[in-house]
Amino acid sequence: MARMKFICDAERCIECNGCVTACKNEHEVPWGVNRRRVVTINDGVPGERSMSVACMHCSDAPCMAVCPVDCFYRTDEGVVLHDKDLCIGCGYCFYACPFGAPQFPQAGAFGLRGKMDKCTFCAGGPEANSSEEEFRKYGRNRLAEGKLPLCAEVCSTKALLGGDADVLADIYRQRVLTRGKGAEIWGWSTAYGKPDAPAAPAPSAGGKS
Amino acid sequence: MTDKANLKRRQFLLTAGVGGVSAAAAVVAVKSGGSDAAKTDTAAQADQGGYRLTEHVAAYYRTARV
Repeated sequence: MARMKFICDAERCIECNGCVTACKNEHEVPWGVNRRRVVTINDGVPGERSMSVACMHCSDAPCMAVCPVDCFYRTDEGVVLHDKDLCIGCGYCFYACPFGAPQFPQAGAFGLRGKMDKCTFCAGGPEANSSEEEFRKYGRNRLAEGKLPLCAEVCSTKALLGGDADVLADIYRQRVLTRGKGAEIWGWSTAYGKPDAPAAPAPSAGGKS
Repeated sequence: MTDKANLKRRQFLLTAGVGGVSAAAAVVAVKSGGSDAAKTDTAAQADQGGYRLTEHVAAYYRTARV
């Protein structure tokens, strides 16, 4: 069974926000809700990096752990989905998620929380596949149509990859080998500035830029 | 003696004929049943609506390798 995953290649993302726009249009996401957004670090500074972020469909999802009504479930492909009929809009998942994926529409003049809304990996919800009710609550079910998430498919530079994790890992590995860098950007040393681990040697003799 | 032999042979042929027809009917039934089962499996896969490596998905993977 394939495991669905997103990965964003920060070396390729050009902050065009095409993924954000495509997602909103495909699923007719209401105002005030962005299932996906592009985050830029060191914006305007040479060497800035951008990443497209949405629900990462975690293997050990914190949103599932904290939900008091247990409205989340995971499909066979590892996609984390939720049942809006059970959601009470408490917002616990929003605080638990490290990616800020859960979104809450501003329902009413006083900003009341509505049902939580988030990226579904274009896999719909618990309703019948491609039904009108499923589209109204969760958006289009592209996986049922034999397709992949639209955000990944429309990405002009193929920075945002989505699909079978094994295939994506192989694609990213080939990119790293071609560039001669990239594998060392992962890890605690980079994330927290602690040189507790020796830097991994570059895969090839190519110069780092 | 000859009549008895003919009778035995006729009974044998009759039995073989009935058996053959039954076997053929069984084969047809199994074949049609298998076809139905295959159709059901395909329909079930479509109903599940999960990830499938379709031509569309394969084309996307090819473009991502550029």
